Amino acid sequence: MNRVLAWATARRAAGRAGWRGTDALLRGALGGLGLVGAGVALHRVDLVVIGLPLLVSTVLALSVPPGKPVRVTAQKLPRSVEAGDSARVAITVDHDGGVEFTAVRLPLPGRPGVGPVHLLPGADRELRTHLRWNTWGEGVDLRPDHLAGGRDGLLISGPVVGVESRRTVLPPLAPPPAGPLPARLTGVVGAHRSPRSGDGAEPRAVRPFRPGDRVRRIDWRVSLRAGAATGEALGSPHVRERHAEADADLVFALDSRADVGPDLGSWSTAEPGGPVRRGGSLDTAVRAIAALAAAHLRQGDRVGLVDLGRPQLGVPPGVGRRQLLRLRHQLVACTRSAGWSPRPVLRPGQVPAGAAVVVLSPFLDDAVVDAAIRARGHTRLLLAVDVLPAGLVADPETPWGGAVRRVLLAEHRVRLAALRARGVAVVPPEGVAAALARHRRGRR
Amino acid sequence: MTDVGAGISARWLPVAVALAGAGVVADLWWQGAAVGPLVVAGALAAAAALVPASPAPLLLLLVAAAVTTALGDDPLRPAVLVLVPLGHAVHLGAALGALLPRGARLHPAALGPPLRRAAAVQVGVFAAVGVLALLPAGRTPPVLEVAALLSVAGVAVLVLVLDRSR
Repeated sequence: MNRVLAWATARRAAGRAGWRGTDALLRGALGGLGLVGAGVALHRVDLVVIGLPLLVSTVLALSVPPGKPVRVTAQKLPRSVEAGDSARVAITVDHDGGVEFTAVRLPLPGRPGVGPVHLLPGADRELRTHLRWNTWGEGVDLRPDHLAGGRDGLLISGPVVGVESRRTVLPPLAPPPAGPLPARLTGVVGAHRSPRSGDGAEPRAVRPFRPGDRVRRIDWRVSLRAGAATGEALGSPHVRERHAEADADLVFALDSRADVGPDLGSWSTAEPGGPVRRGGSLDTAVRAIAALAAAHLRQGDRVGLVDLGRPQLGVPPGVGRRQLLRLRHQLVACTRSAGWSPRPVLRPGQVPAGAAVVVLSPFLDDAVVDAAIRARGHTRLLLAVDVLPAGLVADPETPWGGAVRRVLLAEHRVRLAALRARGVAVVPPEGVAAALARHRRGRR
Repeated sequence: MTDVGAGISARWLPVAVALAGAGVVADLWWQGAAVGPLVVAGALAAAAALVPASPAPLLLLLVAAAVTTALGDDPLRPAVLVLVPLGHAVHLGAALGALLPRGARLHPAALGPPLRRAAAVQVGVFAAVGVLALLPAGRTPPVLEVAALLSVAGVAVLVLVLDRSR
């Protein structure tokens, strides 16, 4: 009798802890008792035989009452990770025993997202799963929703929504060659040649001495040769000028208003996997910016970011590894709120005077072309990087798909031609470094 | 520490329920059931596989038991004995399938304890069947019948009271 009372007390405690019966409990109890009872009442042994397994298994299952509610906790991970990183996460399932199943939502190896629900043995209390971040962006990669089941799943606790684990996967840093940039006139330090004379290493010109020149700048060999030519020794001392060295400002202007892929039919729908279309225009632009920013910051340039869709998300030019980290975080932030602004904003105040500006856009509207041409007036160099995916595919679900594609491509060509006509070089993402190098050669 | 792999698709649970349900329908057909009950049983088997958290599995078992009782007198004939594991499989498969959402993954180690217990129950039931086969057939004394019915009713009341107290 004491055992029955203990069992009843444990059942009552389980009920208070959130455990409840399922359809299977009703089926086992009602079906088993009903068939056995009907068999006895009707003198039919076959009904008893058919109902007996249900009744016996239900009694066996209920003989072990579950305890307190199940708690599932996941190990803490860093808030931001690099694309391509991976980690093993420990998940602890805490319960009193009496839990035969735990259904926990865990990521699948090699797949993005929070993953499906896994039906696991209740005896496994320490779980470990493998996370791999292949694609950059921000999102939830772990949310251990869980449900606990007693024997035969007759009693369950849950489902409980797990604590979300959000993470920022930074855009990858591909290693492109960094091209030389036009120097900033006001700069006095840095790795780039300034057009004005100064104390750099690169020779600029040889000219006659003028008042104000430093004596140590006099090139005695040239001066003697000039004196010998005129017959007047030390008559006209000459000085050798050198270029000043200056840091260079490079500002990337990201057009986050549109994110399009090669398939025209999918332009009006959101990407199911996240805010950014993989292989789309925004993905290409962000990867290019991250790679170019890393290369130019490595050689000492000052790099900044302008979001044409949301000017408040811009990053002023800066140097160093911390600036690169800031830029990569901000690129993810820009893509999080992409596609909401109808008109691009590129004001003179966003770009330092004399900076090189690289506008990355699919150039799908005239407004971005107007903004780029206006910005051309107050920048030393402006490059337009066309990130519209190559090989656009017409929407097969509409008879106008082919015509739409042709019109769109024609308008795109006209916009790029307008940019070129105003002196803006239009290059593909992989041609930015080469374009900067061409610009420098042209200036020499 | 257990590494959680990919497991197998949990769609195998509805498939198992469907196979067990098809076995029940085939058993009824083997006993010579009419088309109507076969169609009803088939529909219930399909519903049990597709919607395991529904009354369909219970109704399938009740229909199968009723048809089996109506079609034969020998309580321990093979058609009845086949229904014992099939009915249990439908019950257990539907119970587990009802726990999981679409797209879930199943780790075979999770099925070990319930399958071992189900096997033990089946062994016990068939042992009881063996004992029944050895008992003499004939009418039970009315006093014993009343006592048995009262016992079953007592168990039912006990389960109801305990379940309500929870």
